[in-house]
Amino acid sequence: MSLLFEQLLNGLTIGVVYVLIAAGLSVIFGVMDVINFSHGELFALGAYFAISLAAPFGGPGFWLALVVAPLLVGIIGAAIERFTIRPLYGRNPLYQILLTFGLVLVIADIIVLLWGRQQQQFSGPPSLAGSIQIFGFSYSLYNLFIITFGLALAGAIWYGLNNTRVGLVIRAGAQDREMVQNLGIEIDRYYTLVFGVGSAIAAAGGVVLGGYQSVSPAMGHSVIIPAFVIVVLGGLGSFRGAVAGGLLVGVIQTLTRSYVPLLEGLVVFLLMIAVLLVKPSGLFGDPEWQEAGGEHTTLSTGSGGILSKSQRLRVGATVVGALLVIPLGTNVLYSPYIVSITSDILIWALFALSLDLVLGYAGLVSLGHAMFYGLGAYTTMLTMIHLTPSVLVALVLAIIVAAIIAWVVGYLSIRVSGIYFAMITLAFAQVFYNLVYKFEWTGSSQGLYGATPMYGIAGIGVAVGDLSLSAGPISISSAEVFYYLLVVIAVCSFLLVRRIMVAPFGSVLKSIRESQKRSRFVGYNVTAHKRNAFVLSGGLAGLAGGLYAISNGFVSPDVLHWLRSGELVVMAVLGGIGTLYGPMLGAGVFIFFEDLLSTYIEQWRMVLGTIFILFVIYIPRGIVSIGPYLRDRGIIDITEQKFERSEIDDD
Amino acid sequence: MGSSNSHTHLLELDDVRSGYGETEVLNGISMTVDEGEVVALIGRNGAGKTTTLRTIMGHLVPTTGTINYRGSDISQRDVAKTAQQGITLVPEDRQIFPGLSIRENAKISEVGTTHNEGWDVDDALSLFANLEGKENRPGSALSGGEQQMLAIARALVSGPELLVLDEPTEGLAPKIVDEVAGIIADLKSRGLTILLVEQNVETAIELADRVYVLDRGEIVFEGTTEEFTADENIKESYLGISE
Amino acid sequence: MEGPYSGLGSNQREGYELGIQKINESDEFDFTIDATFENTKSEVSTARQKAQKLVQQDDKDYLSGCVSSAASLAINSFAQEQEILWVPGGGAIQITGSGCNEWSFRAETHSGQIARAFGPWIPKNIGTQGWIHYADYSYGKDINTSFTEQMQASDASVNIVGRSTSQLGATNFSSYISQIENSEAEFVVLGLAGGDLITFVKQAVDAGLKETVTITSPTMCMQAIRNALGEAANGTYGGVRYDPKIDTPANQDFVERYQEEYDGNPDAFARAGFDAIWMTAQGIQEADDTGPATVKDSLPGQEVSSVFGSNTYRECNNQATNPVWVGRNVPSDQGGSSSVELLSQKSGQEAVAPCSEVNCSL
Repeated sequence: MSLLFEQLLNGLTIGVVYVLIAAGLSVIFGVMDVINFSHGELFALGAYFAISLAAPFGGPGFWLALVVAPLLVGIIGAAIERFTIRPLYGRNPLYQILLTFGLVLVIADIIVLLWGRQQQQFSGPPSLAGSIQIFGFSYSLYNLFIITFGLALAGAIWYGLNNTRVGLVIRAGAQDREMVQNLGIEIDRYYTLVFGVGSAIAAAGGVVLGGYQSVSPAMGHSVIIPAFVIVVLGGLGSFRGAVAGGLLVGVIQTLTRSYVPLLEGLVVFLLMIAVLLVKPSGLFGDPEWQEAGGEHTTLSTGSGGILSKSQRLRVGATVVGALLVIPLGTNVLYSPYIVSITSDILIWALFALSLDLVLGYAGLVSLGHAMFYGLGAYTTMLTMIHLTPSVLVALVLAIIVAAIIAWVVGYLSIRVSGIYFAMITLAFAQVFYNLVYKFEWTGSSQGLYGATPMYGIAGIGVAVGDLSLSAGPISISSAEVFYYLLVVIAVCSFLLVRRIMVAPFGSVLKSIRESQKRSRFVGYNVTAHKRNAFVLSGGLAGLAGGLYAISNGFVSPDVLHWLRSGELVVMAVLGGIGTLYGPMLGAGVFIFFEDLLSTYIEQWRMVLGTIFILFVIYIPRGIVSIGPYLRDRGIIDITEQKFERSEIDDD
Repeated sequence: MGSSNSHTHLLELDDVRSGYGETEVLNGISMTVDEGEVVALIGRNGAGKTTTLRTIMGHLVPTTGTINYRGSDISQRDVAKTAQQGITLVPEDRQIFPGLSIRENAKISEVGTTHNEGWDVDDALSLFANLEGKENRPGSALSGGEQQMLAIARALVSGPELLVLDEPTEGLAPKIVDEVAGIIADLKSRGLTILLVEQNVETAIELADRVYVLDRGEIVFEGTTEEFTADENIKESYLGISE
Repeated sequence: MEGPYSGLGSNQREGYELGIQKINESDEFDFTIDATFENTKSEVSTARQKAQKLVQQDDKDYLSGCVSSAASLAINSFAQEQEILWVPGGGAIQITGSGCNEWSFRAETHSGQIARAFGPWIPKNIGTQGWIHYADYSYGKDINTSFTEQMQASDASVNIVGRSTSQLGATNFSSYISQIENSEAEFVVLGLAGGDLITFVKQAVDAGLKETVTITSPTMCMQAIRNALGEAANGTYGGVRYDPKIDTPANQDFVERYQEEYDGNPDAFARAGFDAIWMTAQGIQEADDTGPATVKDSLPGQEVSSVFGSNTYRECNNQATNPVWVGRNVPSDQGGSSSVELLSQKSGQEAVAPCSEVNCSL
């Protein structure tokens, strides 16, 4: 009994910290629609400031840190809002996701630059060291302090929200921003304040948690996903929801860990999925508000019809031609590494193409696409190890498995819209990510190795590693043969998807993207169309994953990591969504730059992050909107920001 | 610039075109509202009534044309600025803050009133007998009629010079429709200027001094309530009403 | 060299740099080393991609690196495919066990060697009632099985009263700590590495676990762990793969080089990086051919010098036979983080499992 009570206290300790992180995240989302991925980094920054403040001042340093670190981070947060997020209001939340993604890279690198990569730790004040007796058992005094401090801070915020004029506006703004403006309140004036205070609270969480665990550069990314789960669980924009969700998740995580370890890492996501399916607005969310937000979210998509048909054909043929001759220059003009990196790019391009189907055409922001890619990769590997080495069979199975899971996930999640869809796909992906760790047959953390892929079927064929061709002076290595296979698959997939998108199915999808309501009135089955697009996309992502597995000869759980889904969205937007070729181009540019920068610059993430931020602010329609072949601006259909009060920035 | 009449209208739209993205909804509409009058804007579903209001409020920026309020162009203003000037919208779906209490719903309007005196929260709420004694209930606990009443009360607290009502009787029971219409008539008798968007033609002509009929983004009729009542053709071809 | 293992990767790199310096300065070697470093984010796929880049674009014949065992294993198979010589930095048994191949030589001490030295010592010196807590991945699982085996083999009365697992990268161990505190355990063996171990011990000390339960972990005496934990590490026990005080001429030379170039003392990762270069270089010298295909045939079983003195990559699995110590973290004379007191030593031959038990066929 006392063990259970102790576990509850353990759960509350971490739960209270979650509350401090989620409260700001939730209110920031509610008031300004910003999904702040960098919130976790601001939390980490709080802990790092505490390290710097606690060390030189000794004992009282902790108390100093508890006041000063949140203030500093609050100022940084306010500056971030003012200078980077402000230009993006009124655009689809996707752009803020992307922007804050860039901020994650930048802040994380700044942390490494200033404090190094090593794990560090600082201690709480001596007065809180040790443990005390409560109800007949001893419990860490510092943990009790965390609980008390966190609850007191949450209580103070709650009081402020409920008993001040500013609080009233913030609560109202979180429920219905538009109506607040209708009443003559300039809500944007409150944004900087909300962002600053939200960041400061997270930093306070970072300080108290830093005294409890070690402080490392990874602490920001590891906390952000549970924080999102809490926000969605409690209801986006609801402070009460963040408090209830944070405590609930803290306690459930802790109890699962001790009593049902098998479900560790799964239970929270399953809970979130269940809540979203039963009550899409979360435990304390407001359903009406969610309805109101639904139609707002149109994405800035590039236009398909930029070049004339013959021009397009020429450009396409040039690209394919270039891809075909690349291997011929190896060992003469450049090393065979070019073929490897281009193979990687082709696989990512295929993956990005799959995302564009749902993101650019159905307007569904999937933050869990790594799930299908990973499923494809694992299915391929398992097939080749246990069933048949045939590449063909393995890839077909990969497509089928990924498509089936996409159907199931789509069936369950397409009913929720906008950001809820993004979160539910993220949750499903996390479930799969955590699942592969659980079983030996999925290779656990080690991954799967040791297949000998073969071209051909039913045992007749050539091993992928052995098939090389030579004709006269030209010889093609086995890696190059596989490369050509990738080129063929990527080109065929692109043509197939393009064919589908000009067919009636594609036009319906586009009309759904423009306005769901209108499409429904016209009589289209919006849900079915979206789901079909999702299944198609899942299958294609599965194919990409399968090809990755064959090309690399192994799979490991990081193919399912959420950062992969995030990077994919970055690539797609970087290239220009809704164009099919844009995201493929984006994948190429991304991989190329990552490869290049990481070789020469230690702080390459900071550079990459800054590039994203600038892109998102100034070139939201992606690379395809700036290419030289777009010089004839007259025929570019700028469907920028179908949003109210649109501001077309650059032209 | 549009026509300049001898006297300045309170609100004047001149050849306003507006819409969502590349879909144009309003194909150049012109209308006026004068101080102290109730003007009804009627039309079928999808005629562009709500788009007109959204453009006036500043949710949408007109692609061409001007919107003058008290003689100055407000078409480039944002929503909050428009509201601060005294144009207050009671939106179609009421948009009551569900998590705020009834009192807080009304009180928040105080924050936005900068230059003009609004109604006192208690006075505004006391206009509606249905809201009495429920001041601390959350907005989400209200019925449709109560929400409408609260939305009007909230608008009054912000001190409107031009009250814009978007379908105030939509979806309400007949008894409640009468009650809401009674309140609007009361506000009219107090001299408040009202722009009323209605699908319910009967209610509209009961309250309005003048009527505009909107169809597919164009004004197809403009005149006094009497002229409108007399024009069978308009009612039949644009509103589907025949007697 | 980033991600969860990032701090360790940079120490390893310092070792490499010193190793390269030594070879390139010395007259004993007829060749020089031209090295390129790449960053693997500790993601397996990136590690593999970077390896590919080093081999294909930079024409490297020898690769070494990766603190992560999963990444080490991935490059094991890559090395075989590309026919390059590979010295992995990961500590999982599998790397020179079931995942071994003739192109992969490990200079690092693996977790099985530590278990053979440290496991039997625990029941003799601490107690017989134990708890094993480990992270749910290959290294943690290795520790769980090898310590159970080694402790029970040395004393049949050893009883593991409970086991618990946490996810890799977990940050909150309070629930396990409460469970251990409420059990009969006299000691706990932690199969955790890096940040997981630091966080666990810190929270355990805060919760007062150290007063009733002895905390042990194969990596408990690592410099990075001691530095991060400060005084909290005092009184805990660990396996020691390397200690700067080791009394060999080679080690003195290594420590001097290290202190000259960087501040402070080298740690086990720097040692492994240094020996990876040095031991391999001796193989190349002996083979009289810089081609990895020749070296991989001559290096197994060849007697080479290392920081520990004479050493060999065993013929049956290409694993270096490094000695292992048991250590105790004691308050340092200068205050601050604890220093290591060496308690017992197993020679390289004793610490390594007999070839018959190694699940590797070369």
